[in-house]
This record gives sequence, structure tokens and C-alpha cells, in this order.
Amino acid sequence: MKEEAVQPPVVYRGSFLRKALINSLITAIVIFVSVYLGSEQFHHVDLALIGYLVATVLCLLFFTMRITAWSLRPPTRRLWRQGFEMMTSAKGLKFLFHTLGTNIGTQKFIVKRSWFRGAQHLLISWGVLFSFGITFALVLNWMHFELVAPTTYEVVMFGIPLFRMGVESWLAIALYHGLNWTGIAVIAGCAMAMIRRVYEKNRLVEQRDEYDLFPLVLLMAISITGSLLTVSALWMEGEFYYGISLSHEIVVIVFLLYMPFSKFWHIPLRFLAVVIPAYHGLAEQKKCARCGVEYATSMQIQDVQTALSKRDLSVPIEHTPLHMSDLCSQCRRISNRLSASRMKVGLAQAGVWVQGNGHNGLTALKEGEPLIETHPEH
Amino acid sequence: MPKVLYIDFERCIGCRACVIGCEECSGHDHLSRMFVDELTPGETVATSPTPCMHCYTPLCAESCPVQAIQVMDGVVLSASHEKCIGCKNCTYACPFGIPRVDEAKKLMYKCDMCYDRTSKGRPPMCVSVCPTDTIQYVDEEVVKLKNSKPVQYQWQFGATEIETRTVIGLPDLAGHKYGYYDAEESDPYVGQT
Amino acid sequence: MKHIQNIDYAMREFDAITREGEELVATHCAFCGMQCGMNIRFKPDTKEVLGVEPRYDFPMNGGRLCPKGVSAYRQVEHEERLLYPMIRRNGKLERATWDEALDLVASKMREIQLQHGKDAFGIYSGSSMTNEKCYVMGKFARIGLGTKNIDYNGRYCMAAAATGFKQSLGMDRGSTNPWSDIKFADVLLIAGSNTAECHPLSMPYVWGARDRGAKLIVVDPRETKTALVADLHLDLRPGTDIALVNGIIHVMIRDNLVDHAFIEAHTNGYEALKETVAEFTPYHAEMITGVDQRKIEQAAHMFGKAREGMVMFARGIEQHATGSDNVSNYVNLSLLTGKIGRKGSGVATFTGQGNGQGGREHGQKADQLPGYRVITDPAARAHVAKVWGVDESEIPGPGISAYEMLKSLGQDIKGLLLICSNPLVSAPSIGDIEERMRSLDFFVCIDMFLSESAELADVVLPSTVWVEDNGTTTNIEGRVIRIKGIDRTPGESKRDWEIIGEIAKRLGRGQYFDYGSPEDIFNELREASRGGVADYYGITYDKIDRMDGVFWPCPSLEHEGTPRLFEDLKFKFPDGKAKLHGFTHTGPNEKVDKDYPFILTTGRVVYHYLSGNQTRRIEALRKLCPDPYIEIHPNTAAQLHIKNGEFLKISSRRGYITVPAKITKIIRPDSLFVPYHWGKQLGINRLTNPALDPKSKIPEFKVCAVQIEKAGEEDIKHAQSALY
Repeated sequence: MKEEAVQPPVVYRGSFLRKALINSLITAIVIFVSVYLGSEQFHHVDLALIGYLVATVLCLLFFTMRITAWSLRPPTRRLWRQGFEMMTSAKGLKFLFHTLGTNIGTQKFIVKRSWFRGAQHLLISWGVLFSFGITFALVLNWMHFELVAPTTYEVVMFGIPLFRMGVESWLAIALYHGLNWTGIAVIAGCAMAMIRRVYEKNRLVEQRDEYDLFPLVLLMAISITGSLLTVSALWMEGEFYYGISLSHEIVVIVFLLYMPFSKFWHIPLRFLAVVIPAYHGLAEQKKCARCGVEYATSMQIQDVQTALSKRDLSVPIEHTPLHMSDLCSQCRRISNRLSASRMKVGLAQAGVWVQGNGHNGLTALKEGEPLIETHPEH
Repeated sequence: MPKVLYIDFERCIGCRACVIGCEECSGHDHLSRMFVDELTPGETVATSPTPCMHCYTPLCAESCPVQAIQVMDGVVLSASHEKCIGCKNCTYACPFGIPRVDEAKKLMYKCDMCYDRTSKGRPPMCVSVCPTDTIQYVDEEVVKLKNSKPVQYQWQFGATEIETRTVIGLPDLAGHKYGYYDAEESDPYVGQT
Repeated sequence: MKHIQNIDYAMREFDAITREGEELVATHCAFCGMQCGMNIRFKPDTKEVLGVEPRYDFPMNGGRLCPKGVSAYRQVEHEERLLYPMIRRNGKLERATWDEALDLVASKMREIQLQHGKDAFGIYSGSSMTNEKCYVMGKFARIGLGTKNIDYNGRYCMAAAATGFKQSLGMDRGSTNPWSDIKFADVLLIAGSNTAECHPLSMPYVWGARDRGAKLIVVDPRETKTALVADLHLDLRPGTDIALVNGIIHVMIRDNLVDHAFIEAHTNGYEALKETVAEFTPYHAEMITGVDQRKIEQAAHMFGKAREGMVMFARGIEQHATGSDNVSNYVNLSLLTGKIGRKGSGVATFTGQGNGQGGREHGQKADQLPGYRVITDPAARAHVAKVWGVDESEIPGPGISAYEMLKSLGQDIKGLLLICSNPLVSAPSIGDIEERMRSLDFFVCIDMFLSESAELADVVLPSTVWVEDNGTTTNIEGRVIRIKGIDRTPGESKRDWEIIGEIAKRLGRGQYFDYGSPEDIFNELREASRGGVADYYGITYDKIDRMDGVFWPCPSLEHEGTPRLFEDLKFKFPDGKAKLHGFTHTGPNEKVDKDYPFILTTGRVVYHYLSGNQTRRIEALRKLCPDPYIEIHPNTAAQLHIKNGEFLKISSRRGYITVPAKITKIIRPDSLFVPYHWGKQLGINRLTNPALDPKSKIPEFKVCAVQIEKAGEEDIKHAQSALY
């Protein structure tokens, strides 16, 4: 099975290198500064976590570069910009928060695909996101615990003491074991996902082991080795602790380096999804040039036409100001067939007649050609 | 030799078996990806089916902000479930009017030539069920170069040329053997808007 | 290896896909006489039905299916399936046990027959069941219940074709030719058939003929897809077929396009026919039919000059008060030109019901015994009595036809067993029929869904869907094929033949219905049909599997069936000659007048099957055609200021319905078309004319006089509440 790259990354190479360097530099500086501040001028650097730290930094740099490349694509760039512009209005912000809640919070759209998929994805995604929160905070030394009294911890973030809690307190236990709870969620979610991938094998015709199953195995491995650390410490008097911790570290490092180039790449994409409801909902509706049905926003049609023209792939209707995207999907299909039958096509809303251009595209009607008219209704 | 879809639309009887048949393919999640459109509603019963044209340079993919549309073994696939953000750019960019977006699932879906079937050497479901062989699954080279009637697979929109894997057969306008339209009867309506 | 009889068919070189954890059962579609081959996917452990997989190697359709075929399996796991018997208590159908229900049925049968005589209990059967079941129904009526009153819904469907073929050719098999012969015709004359919608899988053959350059003549008041394609579309006024065909025959005789040698050697009645058509000049025919006389001339030449040609027709010409004569007149075209008994030459009717062919051969028709035997023929009675193991005198005489039976419900017929039919959608003038059904003393219905008719029953018994039983059907060409089932009976449902067996047992007649399997029934049917016109004796389940279906007659175990009839040009009359009958135009039973100025014609849409009891429940089909509509020509609509989609009240002397207008040029300006698959307030059969063809007793569904007006607010509300 071969996969062909759809976009040759040739066009933007020059600007990509420059932008990628700049963005990576910014990311690196931000990380450095945050570690510096978090560890209170490197006083609290946890050397045991240094392997994790290096991998995390690399992971973030890789993500930065890939996001840079991705955002340079005309449709992506356009959508980001539209998103940011829309978020400046109160209405846009309302859309934003609502969508954050339904798209990323409750992930309603996945639940609609099936409740089982919804449940598994909620478990995995929230498990992973919370794990990230805790590990990044610890690994980048943004947060640490200080024993301020024999039975009291103080939680310090970026050098700022946040609150104190008893060593044996409920909150403390919840916090130390945070990664265990998230680990359990991830294990459950991954198990569900694997069951689905086996059980629905007949339906998941395009699934590939290396793309779809390996990430699940990796997440399982991280969560299981992580949980075993706790098991070893609590119930096995530290037996195998070193071995487990080493294997945990290895899988996590593999995961961090693999993440930006894997199925997990969809995580940053999801943040672009957040702008879509506003993008569709806020702009004025556009009517199909043939049948008059409202099928899009003018803004999006403009954006799509711009994006295509930047790739030299405009699909105009010749000798008219129109593009194919000025027709609704159904009218595009019908117009293609009618022109293939040498009939003239009435774009009633736009007030023009078009016909085949002799090369299977459409063009404005030339006088004197024997053609049959069709009615622009459906 | 790679096989492609061939649409000889003057044979279409508008029964929409392809539309329902499409739901039957494993991997289609009971969502039909096929279209059958009435071409001249109120005038005649002429119809045409439209599957994906499977472009060599798919504009759906070009317009996708998240690169969710992949090409595999000569088939432009439906958007990847984890990447697609339901923005609908593809539905507007496609000059053939193919992709659709499921609003609730926020997911684009389109013809994938029944990947399940074609990867096992069987024709796609629409081809399998079509009562009139309007939709056929044939050798690309044969249908493009040696077909018995003129075909469309190179589409010139202004300066842009798009080559599609799917091939459309032009109706027989000289003999109109399949009666695609009846010129005489349609005449009185020329000039009406 | 494919059997030689199948080489010209449409099969394809692919194997079906079997997926992990699934099995396929190779069976046929539940809908329409084409009986397309299909595989049903199911889980072997739970017997859950999962979907459909093309059966590429079946000759007739080569895996191709219409939308009904693709979605047929979706009725199997349907939530509205009847899963347990129901008895009406205090006016409501309530769950009951099988014993309660069957005991009640048997006791009511006894009671009514004791009080009012044997014939007071009627059976109204159907043709969408296997041959085995149809056979059992006929036998059950005659020697289980001992009533003469059994008839079936094929009376609305195939009766005219059957009678017409018999009076012209001496026997009736829906098609004289195998379907692959269509491809080899030089001219096809298709009359009153919307082939593209009602028999989509005949289209590969029609297109096949077209690909070979065949001419196509279509007779239809609507410009259907076949009419759009046709070289000649004879868009006649509904109900004027005899005049049109007379016009064509007139031209053929005038221009010497008839085959005199054939007429001389193989037919009787030519001179009388010639005399009858003498007055039907093209001009005269145009005046009656509304078809341009030039087109009539062209049709005569196109058909007359072709070497091979087939005449094919369907309900459009058959559902008339002159239905059987219409059929014979179209058959005349073949006989006059000697186009019969050869590859590419013959006559055929498009069988509508799933087993419309087999269902009319094995004794569930009022006047008929198995093997297409006539019930009044002493030899036939003796043969069948011997096979059944009863005394000949125990077999009653002929009963009354389906519509006549419905009309006498509550009067001569006090009790009714309804199976495999939904007359409250499919009968003419259903408003009246509903009252009749309500006046029954006892009414039991066997069905898998609660149809409009079943809703009125006193007892409803749940049966299985087609793919849950084994058996055979006989397709549009006369090919006997096997329906293979999955061994499942959801809930408490039982197979129809088992239910009948249980009732028979309770009537003390169990010994005649003690079958172990459908194959047992089939083997008895083979004996019963032996020596009859429809001789199945040589057909076995194994032979069907081996040959992908066997064409009857097949009189011996060595015989390989008869795909093409009349190859020897010996017709089934004592002298071996076919009969040419001449008919003069009388027109439809009900003519338009100033109160009812439009002609209403009805028909099917591709998404629904007959009364819609199954297809209206399948969501994919219902979505594509949820409700009926009325097709009206733009000129007519403009005159009445009707807009597209506007609700119209359409009424005849018998009733009215309110449906939205669909303005289209495919219908004649003087005619209106409404599809008939709906009941209650949406049933166009409220309006249709129950005038019967005196010979075949088929009602005149295809023409009645109506008026239309814009619906009032009250009617619109009423209609909208009924729409899906």
C-alpha cells in the first residue's frame, strides 16, 4: 500500500525555512525562560527528569516546525487569520467558548459518530491532556513540592507558593497519583479503541496497523509502565522499580519524539476546528448562482477561491466573473452533465447563460450555437 | 492495469440503486456517497449518477486546511476521521460537486471507490448493483483511449487543467439512441428565463 | 460451469466477498417477478442479518439490483415485525399465545361453516409467496376448509395476461422466451410498462438490444425513461389500446407487412380480424387514441419489417375492463408477423409480483388446480384428488374472483383468512372494501407486518419474511428458482405453511398438511402438476441449483426444461394453431365528462413494491419516495393556476384524496398519474374503478374519470397529517 503525498511542499520552501527557524527560536526561548523561572533560577531542577526534559523540548520544537509548515498552506493560513479576526468580536468569542466546550470539552461530534467511540476518545484525550499537564509542569520544572513542615507540603509554581496541604491529605494523594488516574483512563480508552478496531475490522477498511494501532500500543505501554511504578513503590517495596522506571522513560521518550509525526498530529489541528462554527455562522450567506439556494458564506467561497488561485488551480467559468464554487454542489454536477449534452445552462441568479467550453469546462454562451435550454430549478 | 469508474450517463434510469447500494459497502458507515441528479426536472426523466471523479490533482485536498484528504492506490479517500474539522472547504473547491459534510459528526465523506471491494479486486458497490451498467469499472487506459464513444476526463477550467481518473461518456447526440433529450419537444421553451 | 441455457444472460465474472465472521446465503429478491439473485450476509451464530452482497454469477441479473433489491434485507431486522400472535379483545389487538389464537381461528372456521355452509369462509391469498406456500393455500382451501372460495391478489395483476395468452396461444406462461432473447430482437414493442421503474433489471436486456441497434417502440401515456429513449413513443390516451393496435394491424395488412405463410399455417381467424380492423385507418385510430397517425404508420412499418421482434406489455394494458382482449390484440402483432418461437421473437408480460408466475399455476386461483389445471375438468380433479389422497367429490368447484369476494364479505362470505396480501391498498375502490371487511363475522390475517388490512383483523398471526424460509418461486420468464432461507423465526413468528398446518390439525385435517419441510411440499406439488400445463414434475431442488433455475414445462427427471415455448410452432389448441381474435374499440368503462374531466391512471414508482407494506417501512426507500403525489402537465396546471407542490384534491365518483402536485411534461395534458402504494387517506385506490374485465375479472385500475381542485384548508391539514 503506497501513500502519495497530496501536496508537494516545494512552493513555500524559502519562506518555510526562515519562518521555521524564527518560530523554533521563539519556542526555544520561551521554554528556556519558563524553565529558568519555574526552577527558580535552576535551583530546583530535577536531574532525574533530564532525559524527559530533552525529549519534551525536541517534541515541542518538532511540533513548532510542523505547525509552521502547515500554517503556511494558503487554506490553513486563511482560516487561522479569519479565526483570529472573528475572535475579536463579542459574538465571535461567544462562539469560541461554546465550541471549546462542545468540541474539545465534551467532544460531542465524536459521540455522534457512536457513543462507544465518544467514550473511548474522551477517556484517551482527557487522560492524555491531563498527563501532559502534570508531566510538562514537572519536567519543565514549572512546579515543585516543598516540604515546609514535617507533615505539610507547599505547592510552588514558577517560584510562587500556591497552597499548602497535609502529606497524607486527600488532595495530596489525588495530586501524587494524578498520573495514575489519568493512566487508568488512558488504559481503559485504549482498550476500548483496540476492541473496536478488532470487532469492527470489517467496517474499518482503511485501517493500518502502523498508523492506527501502534499509537494505542504506545499509550498503553506508557500508562502501564507508569502505573507499575506506583505498584512497585506501594505494594512491592520498590522491587523492579529501576527497571520499570527505565522502560517507562524509554517509551515516553519514543512517544514524545514520535508524536509530531503520527496520528497525534491531529491534536493541534483540533484547535483550528474551534473556529469553524463561527466561520460558518457569522458571515453572510451566499446564494447559488444557478438555483438560488443558500449553500455557503460569501466569505468562505472567497477564501476557497483565493486559496485555489494561490496554488494556480482556480476553476473559473470562462468569460464570466464566476467560478465553479459559485454554484452549489448539485448545480455543479448538473451543469457539467448538461454542458456535456450540449445544452445551455441558465445561471438564473447570476443572469448569465453558459455552455461547454469545448474542453469540458464551462464558458459564457456564444450566440448562434444550437443549444437547448434548461430550467435552473431542482 | 489500474481500473477506474466509467459513467455512461445516458443509460441511467434514475433508480438510485447506486445511492442505496453505496450504503452497503463496509467502511461507508451506511452513509451514501453517491449522487443521482435529475437533469431536467419537470421536462424529462433524464438523470445522471455522479461518484467521485478521483482527480490526479484533487482540489478537495488542495483546499483542505488540515490535509485530511489522502490519495491511496489511485483513490482519493474520504477525509481522515481524526483530522477533518468539518470546515466544508472541499465541498466548495470541488468543481464536480462531490464531497459532503455530515454536520453532526463534523466529518467530510465522499466516494472512496469502495476501498474494501476494489482492494480485493471486486467492483465498487455502485458498479455492482447498477441495473443498466451506467456505472462501470473498467481499465483506465482502455476507456480513456479506446472507448467506443467520446469521453471526458481532461477538464479545462480557464487556465487550469484537471485530469480525472473517473471517465464520463458523452451522450450520443447524433442518434440519441438513449433519448437523452428530445430536441423537438424542448424547442418551445428556448428563450424563456 | 454455467448451463448452456444461461449463456446469453448478464452474469459477471466476480466472486462475492465473504467477510470474516459472516456467511452468505444465495437467494433471490423478495420484490417483483424478476427474482434477481442476491446474497444475504448474516452472522452464523446469532443468525443476525447484516446486509446484501451481489450475486455476480446469477444469470438473470449478474449481481445487479434495483433500490428495492439492495434494501430488501432491511425488513428482516425491522422493529415493526410482528413477533407474537394477537387477538382482538375489546376492540384492540392484544398479545396472545399461539394456542389461544389458533384454537380461536379453528373454532370460528367451524362455527361459520356450520352455520352458513362451507363456502361462507373465504381465503384471500397472495402471489408474493413461494410456490410451496401458494400450493398449500389452494390445497388448504379445497380439502382443509372445504371451501370453493379462494382467490388471490394476482387477480389484480396477472389475470388479464393469463386469460389473453390462453385465448390466443392456448396456454399461459408469462414469457414465451427466456429473458436473454430480448437482446436479440430487432424491434421491441413495449406497451403499458414503465420498465425502468417497475422492472429495472429488465433494462440490461432492453439496453442490450439497443446496443445491438434494435428499434424501440413504447406505448405509454407517460414519457417514462423507456419512452424517452424510444424511436417511437406512442403516447396514447389511457384506455385506447385496442384502437391503437387495430390501427397498427390495419397498416400492416394494408402495406402487406404480415407473414401470410405463417398466418396460413399456424393461425385461425385471420379473415375476421382483417374485417375488424378495416375501419381502423390511422386517421380513425388517431381520433380515438390521440396518437399522431404518422407515428402509427411508422410503428406498423418498424415492427412489420423487422426480422425478429418481441412484444412486451404489463399492467398498463392489462388492468382494463378489456384487459384480456388488450393482451390478445398485442399478441396478434406477433402472430401476424410470425414473430414467435425464435431467439428474439416472442411475447411476454412483465410479471409484477414476486411469484406472480408460480402463484397463478398451483391452485390458489378460484377456478384452478395445481399444474395450471382447470378445476371443472374431471380428469384434472381425479389426478389431483389421487395425489392429495381424497375422494374427487371432496374437491369443491370454482369460486369467485378476488374483487367479487371482497364485495361479498359480510354477505355470502362471513369469515376470511387473508394471507400475503393487503387489499386495503391494492383493491379498487378501497373505501367501499373497508366497510365490507368491517362487516365480517371473523377475520384472520397472516402477515409479518401490521398492514392496513391486518389492522382490521380479529386475529393476526405473525409469519416470517422471505429469507427466513426455503422454497421455490417461478420468475418472469417461467424459470423455477430456489429461495434459500436462514434458519430463524424472530419472536414467536412461524412460517406460513406451518401456520396452515397447525390450523388444519385443529380442523381435523392435519394428515393432509403434515409436511416436514418445503421440499416435502414441493415434491407433492411436482406430482400434482405432473402432466398439467405447468408441469414441474422433472424439476428438483438439486436440478435448480445445478442449472441456476429450470424453465417449466419439465415433464421428466431427465428433461432440462423449456426456456423457449412454441419453437415447433405448435400452439396449445387441438389443431395446434394459434387464434387471431379481432376486437373492436369500446373504450374504458368510465369515460370522462364535464363533471369528471380528467383521466386518472395509476402505477408504481421504483422505490416501492405493491401495497408498500414492506417497502414503506424501509427507511432508505421511504426517504426517496415518502408520499404519493399527482403528476400533472404544465399546461393543465397553468389553466387551473396550480403551482408545483400545491395540494390538490382529486376525486372520482368513488372517493377522493389530497396530495401535492408534481408538475411535469412527462404526463399527457388530459391525464393525471398517481402512484398507488399507499393506503388510508393517501390511497389512490379510493378513486379507482372496480369495473371488471368479464373474462379475467381484473379490475380497471388504469383508467377512471376524475376531477381536480385546489385543496381546502381542512383537506390540506388532513393530508399533511397523513404525509410522512
